Amino acid sequence: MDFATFSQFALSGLTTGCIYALVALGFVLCANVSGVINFAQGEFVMLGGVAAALLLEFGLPLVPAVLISVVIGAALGMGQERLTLAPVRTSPAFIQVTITLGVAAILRTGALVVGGKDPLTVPGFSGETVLDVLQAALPVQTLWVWGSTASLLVATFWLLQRTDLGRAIRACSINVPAARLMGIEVERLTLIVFAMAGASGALAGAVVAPITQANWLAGLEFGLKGFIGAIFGNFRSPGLAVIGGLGIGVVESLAAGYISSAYKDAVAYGVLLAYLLVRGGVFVYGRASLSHSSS
Amino acid sequence: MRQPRLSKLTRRCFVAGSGALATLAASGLARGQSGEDFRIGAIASLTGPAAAFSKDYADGFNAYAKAWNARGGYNGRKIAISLLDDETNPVNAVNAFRKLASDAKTGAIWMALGSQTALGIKAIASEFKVPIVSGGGVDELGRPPDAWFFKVAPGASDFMKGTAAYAQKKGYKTIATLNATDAFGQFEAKMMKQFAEAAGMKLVAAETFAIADTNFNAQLVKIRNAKPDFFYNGSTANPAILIYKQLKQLKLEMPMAISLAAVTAAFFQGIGGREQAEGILGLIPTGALAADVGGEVTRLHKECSDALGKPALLFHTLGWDTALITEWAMKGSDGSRQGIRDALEKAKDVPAINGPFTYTPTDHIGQDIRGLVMAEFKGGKWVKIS
Repeated sequence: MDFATFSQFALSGLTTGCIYALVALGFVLCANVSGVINFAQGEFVMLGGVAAALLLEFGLPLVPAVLISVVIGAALGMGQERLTLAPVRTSPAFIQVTITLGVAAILRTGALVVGGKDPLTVPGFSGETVLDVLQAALPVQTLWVWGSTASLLVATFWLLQRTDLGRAIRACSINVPAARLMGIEVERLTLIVFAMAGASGALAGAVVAPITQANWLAGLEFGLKGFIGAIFGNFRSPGLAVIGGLGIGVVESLAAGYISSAYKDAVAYGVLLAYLLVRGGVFVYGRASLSHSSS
Repeated sequence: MRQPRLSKLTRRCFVAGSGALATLAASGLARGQSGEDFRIGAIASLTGPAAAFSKDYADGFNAYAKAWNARGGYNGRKIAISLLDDETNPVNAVNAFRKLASDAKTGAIWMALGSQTALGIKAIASEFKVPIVSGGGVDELGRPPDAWFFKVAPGASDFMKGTAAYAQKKGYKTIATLNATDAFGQFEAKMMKQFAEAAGMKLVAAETFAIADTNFNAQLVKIRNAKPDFFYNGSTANPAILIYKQLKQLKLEMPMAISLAAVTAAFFQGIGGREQAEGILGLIPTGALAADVGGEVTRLHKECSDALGKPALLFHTLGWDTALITEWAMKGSDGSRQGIRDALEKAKDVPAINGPFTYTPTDHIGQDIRGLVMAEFKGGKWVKIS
């Protein structure tokens, strides 16, 4: 094992992991305030890339194209919450989750109809230079991905820890009725959080599109791997969800490099399975827990 | 008052005439009435995603039929094409096939459909006993054969065989591959391994990827570390763009052949322009480079272009070849469905734009490695090199 090879695997995996981390964060934020696992979160990332690419094709400069994509993401998040989830707020969870799956399908189809089936190109924000980072060859756009991910994470954590809005979000994650009794407008908060999730997802999509291309199918993979990250955070802890997302990106890249590219998804989902089993106490209680639960 | 009796001469004429008419009617049941159009059914995706290639195919059908009729048609009968659009929907394609095949006046059916749809129709081909000549890439369309289903264009294995043959000819000893984990990708990987090893080359890396992947660094680094003499990149669509960009970043510089299906307008845009594709190798059907190939290929390509009224592109030529082999078979048959089918199966080295046609009772693929040339992308276009 030489360091250059390890560095290439790890750092390229970290780049993909940044997107998974942002998707995971979106899952956790939405779940904290609404109790809903929003399976459309990955599609916000996809739409950010597609919207940016299409706006650039129409002749807009880069910065306005990215900003408008973020606004579109925020608007779609708000639209999803207000039009599809608010009316069924008191319905069982499985209905709300199924609705988010439907929204995801609609967003994918919309991107296919508007953007077409071919991948769309977003040029690198600083050109196409390739950098040597710790003996790994990485496109300069990688720095934009790392930088924007770090900035979004810092901003989110600052919001959650240092602002009234963030305190209100954390209160909802602990106990929604109690938060309501304390005067928190949960419905308005939910709308804001979905807008934030949509906006951050769209920004992530626009920033990563120069590396991954933008296409209507991209959201599925991002959504699934981001979901794994959110599970690591138990859909409660933004910090653990981010670590989970980053970790999955690195683990799957290392698995593809050192085990086999054919098994990288199996390894990623295997890590999830192992985590769930450990968290569920199987290895601590063993058979006793199974017989106990059946009695 | 008694009715006048027919004279003997009039009775003889009546009997002879009736007999003649009966004979003509009987032969018409097998071959169609003399002077009546010879109907050929055709199914193409004129709308929907597959229209990108299928419409050109159908234009090839129509151009050939026009030229055929200008030469007198089939035994004086005009060739009439009944063209149906499946809208790139496999269910519509099957329904269209049933409709055409159920019509006794349909003498043969041409298809310009994707491989999966064509396979679905192959499964029911023998129910209707109408000869079908169809496009499609996968070997399963022609091998194992259905008695009534005949494929056009070299098979997927021929592309791998040709690529391995080129690598062998260049004296390469080691080869690496990168293919999708789907059925087609794994078929290509298996075939490349088989042909490369048969040619005395060693497969030093056989990497895979999922269609949804966006990070191919691991696979490309492993290929780079294996130091192959030659690299076959079997990716298409978005992975093709990303793999190409990432292998440039990682400085993989060995000769690389790419799947022809990868090289699209979106590919060029994604990699930063046609000039970025300089040096890529690809095994190209002769129909796409006909002007450079010479001989019968160039002559037939010119005929096709003249009939179309514009330079013929690859899928035009495949449509043309579909019609060409059908005419060849009809000339050697009694014009019945069975006769055409039997004649098709006897085709051996029949010249066509995308390689000569040969069908056997155990192989209905039709065209083979002789319909392929290795080309290099140079100066913004494919240039034949071997």
